[in-house]
Amino acid sequence: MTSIRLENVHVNFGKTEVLRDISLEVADGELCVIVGPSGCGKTVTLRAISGLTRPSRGHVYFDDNVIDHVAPGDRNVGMAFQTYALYPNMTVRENWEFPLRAAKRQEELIQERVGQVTGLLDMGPLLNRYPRELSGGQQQRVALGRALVRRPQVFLLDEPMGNLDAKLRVELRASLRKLQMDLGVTTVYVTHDQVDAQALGDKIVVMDVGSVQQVGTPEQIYETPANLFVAGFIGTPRMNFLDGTLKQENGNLVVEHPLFKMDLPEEVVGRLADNARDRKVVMGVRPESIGVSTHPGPQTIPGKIYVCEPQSNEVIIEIELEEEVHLKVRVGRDALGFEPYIDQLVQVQIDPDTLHFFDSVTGVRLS
Amino acid sequence: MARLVLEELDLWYSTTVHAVDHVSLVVEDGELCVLLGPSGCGKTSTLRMVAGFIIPTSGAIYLDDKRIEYLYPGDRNIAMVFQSYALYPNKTVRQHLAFALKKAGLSASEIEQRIQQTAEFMHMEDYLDRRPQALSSGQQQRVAVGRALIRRPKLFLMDEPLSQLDARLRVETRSNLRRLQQDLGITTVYVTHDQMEAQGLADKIVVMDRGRIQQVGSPIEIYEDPVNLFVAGFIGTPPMNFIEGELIPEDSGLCFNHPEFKLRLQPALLDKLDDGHKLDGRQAVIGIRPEYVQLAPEEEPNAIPAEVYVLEPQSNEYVVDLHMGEIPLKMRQDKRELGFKPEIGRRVWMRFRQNRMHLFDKNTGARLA
Amino acid sequence: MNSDTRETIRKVLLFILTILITLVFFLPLLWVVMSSFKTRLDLFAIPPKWIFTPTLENYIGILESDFKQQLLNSLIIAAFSTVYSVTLGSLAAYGFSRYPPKSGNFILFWILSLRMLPVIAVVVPFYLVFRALGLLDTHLALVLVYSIFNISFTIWLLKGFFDEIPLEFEEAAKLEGYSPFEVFSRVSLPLTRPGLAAAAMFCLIQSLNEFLIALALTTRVAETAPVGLAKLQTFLGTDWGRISAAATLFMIPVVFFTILIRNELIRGMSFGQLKG
Repeated sequence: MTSIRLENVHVNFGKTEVLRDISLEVADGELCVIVGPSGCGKTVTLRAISGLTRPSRGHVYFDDNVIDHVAPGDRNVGMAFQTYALYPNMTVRENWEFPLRAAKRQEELIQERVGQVTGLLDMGPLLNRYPRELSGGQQQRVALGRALVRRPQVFLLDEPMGNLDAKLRVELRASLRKLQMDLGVTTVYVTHDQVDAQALGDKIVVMDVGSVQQVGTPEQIYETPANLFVAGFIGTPRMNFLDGTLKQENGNLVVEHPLFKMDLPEEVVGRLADNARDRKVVMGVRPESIGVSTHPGPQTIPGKIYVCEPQSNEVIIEIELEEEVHLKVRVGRDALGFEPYIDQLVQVQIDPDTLHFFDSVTGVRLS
Repeated sequence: MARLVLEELDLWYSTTVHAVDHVSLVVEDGELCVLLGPSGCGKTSTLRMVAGFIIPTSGAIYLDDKRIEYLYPGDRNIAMVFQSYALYPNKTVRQHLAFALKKAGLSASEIEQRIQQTAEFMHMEDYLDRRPQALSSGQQQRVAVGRALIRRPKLFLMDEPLSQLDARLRVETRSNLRRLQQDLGITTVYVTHDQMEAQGLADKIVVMDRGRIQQVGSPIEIYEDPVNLFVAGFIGTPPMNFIEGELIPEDSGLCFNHPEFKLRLQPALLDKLDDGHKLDGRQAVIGIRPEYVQLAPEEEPNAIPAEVYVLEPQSNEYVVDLHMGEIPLKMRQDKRELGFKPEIGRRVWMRFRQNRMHLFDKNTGARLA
Repeated sequence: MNSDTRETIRKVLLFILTILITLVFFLPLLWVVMSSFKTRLDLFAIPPKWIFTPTLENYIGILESDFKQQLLNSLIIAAFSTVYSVTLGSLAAYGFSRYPPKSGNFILFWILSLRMLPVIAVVVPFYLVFRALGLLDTHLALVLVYSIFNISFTIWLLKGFFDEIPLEFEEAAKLEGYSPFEVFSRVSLPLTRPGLAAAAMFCLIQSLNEFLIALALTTRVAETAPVGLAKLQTFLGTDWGRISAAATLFMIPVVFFTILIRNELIRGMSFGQLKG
């Protein structure tokens, strides 16, 4: 039963500011994923919550208590690292017993807790193995278990799946999510992988260069990115960006690009703030929001297929509109209706409803 | 103008280790052929035999009708991009390119000209005089490719050339590599364990396991018509769902029987069966890809009930872990097409798109339909 | 701020400690060099004189004696033995690294065991062998004996360096048309330069310093500097001034060579970064 709150947290290393004014709330029982490129400050944020790093300004709250001066060991947080940090000379059981013995718990309680974690993580047959005798995925479970046995009020995970191969990650991701829900423990999960972030988070915090770019549910982050950074960071293939100008023409709002001009429907105009007229913008369009056909239609843009890559039941097509202007399109093979090949001439259709607009200078979303 | 033929290629590392088991394969001129499989499947050994680093125990390798399996690597006119890039720490990019050409019998001015051309083509002009340590991983990768193609070899070999790049860069470099190969029209053999990479790049995928070729085909053939359980499970993320059961004939037709549910097999699937009557009572495995499982929020006739175990949003889609009794299943669908949010713990109803479903023999793993 | 000050203090203390330790090791050397410029009177002054009028008398004396020839002998023998050991050693080490013999490490251990042999045990056999060959008191005899010992060390050292070089480095060159020997000489050997430098350094010092075998196998023509130095202690007494002068001269080539290859030696210490 713990919520976490960061209030205007700053962290400086020497003269470099690594965290700038971080304010953040994680509700009780929530799984919050902090995602960003390396060096964005996500790990430092996690360390500020654990107490391993002291903020130079601002406060950290657990529930409504300031814990700035509580030592890491007294915060009752469980932490798992990317490197697992398992003791190589101890068996799985000993690795798990260790934090409890360090806390001088009674033997009965130790055995009970280890038993519970064993069942939870399905590690029964492996209890007496040494870490080197375990696979990567099993080691990861041991590391989680070690954080779990202490029954922490907060669970902090730093890229816990960074060392696992893709297939295993997908499996463990789901079981981690399920485990966290069953335990109902408030969790902060740090990763650079936006796929993991979308899949796991109740709430995603996107960070870049030491500050928070956007906080929201996976759906919010994907569908209404707050700025160009978030738009480009979340989603593979990444969002397509095109430079354009918003103009008023015959009473209609249009967006103009050297290669095309598009009338914007009422709903889109309504969403754009009033000051959005007559300005340079960056249009963003997700690869799955673009249609491709072989025949021209109203408002289609001609292009040439640069590369096409089949992927599962879909195909990812990179289309060259003109030199250096490329669009990536992701479309189901059934929906496409023809077999694309390199250098094929095609028509691209962009639905104005699906366009995102960003200020060309500040990168902030216009809506 | 190069066609690669492997004929009954066999490799024993010792009397007990059969690394490559009678591999026969044709790579057509200009084709990009991906050898795909888990580690230890023999894909790298096969590649190394083509390069000439390993002599096959038996079998033949032809490059344009010339037998090459006993030739010295340098006499095969083959270039290779290594997983580690194999860039020399004591040489600059320019020196790497020059080194690659020194044995090609070109004049100094020709060499200089080729280096310029290649540097331009690969956009490496800015760092021609740097050493590998001073390059980013993406630049190192480009140098490794540039160094291979500057010789204009007949055949390109690539051994996991993208594995050192981070996820995002890997996807971008992949499409550039594909385009480059297509533009140059160089016959290429590419080794990877990453099935997404294989699907995105290949003209032809060769799926290998335990030293043997399991299936050869275009990415779409491999994805939609896997010949056995191994290929079906190896290709695709999230992987294909498998459910074991028994085939039972009933009045209404052939049924797939499982303790949790009974599924009447539709003509869409049965038409693909070779000889339906022999299948009665056979232990079988249903294979269905996550995107061919359809979900409904309310009960529907013939739909199978299940519970949402985990929900993972992914871009415009939801990936849903379902539990049908004890059986875990995954499905994947566009959020809008799905029309409702399958919250964790919720009860939903599933249908399988049977025209995209597969049946495998439980014992042999071979596909029945 | 606080931690910055503490860091500074730590660095200063560390620096002072380094100076002190260096002094402890350097003082005897300094003493020898100083002694070589002292007159007999200054040499035995108590308390020791730190400031004195230097004289070249000791150097003139020693260079007029046989020592000049002995020093030259030492240098010739050391140089040949070093070149010989490093050349053969690198070839052999490459062979052991890239084409390991089926017998496993047996041959390698056998080679290294040569190094472990106490020299005194082989002095007499060597004497008999070289007498039979008619090579007593020749440069060739010492070059051969020193090379036997040095090659085994060189092989072990360089094999480690070759093992570190990724196989792909060589495979890439093979595909580019280079022959196996060219792959060795143009790709792998240049990458082991730090190792070659360390091996050469070691061989040179070993050959220059060796005393026992030189004493047994030479009499006049090929006599080496360590033997000559020892002979300066005569029954008429020991001329410490001349010994110091001889020792100083003897040090110069090693110091010179070390300065020459110091960059390579330092790189050798961080050799693990090769793959980076």
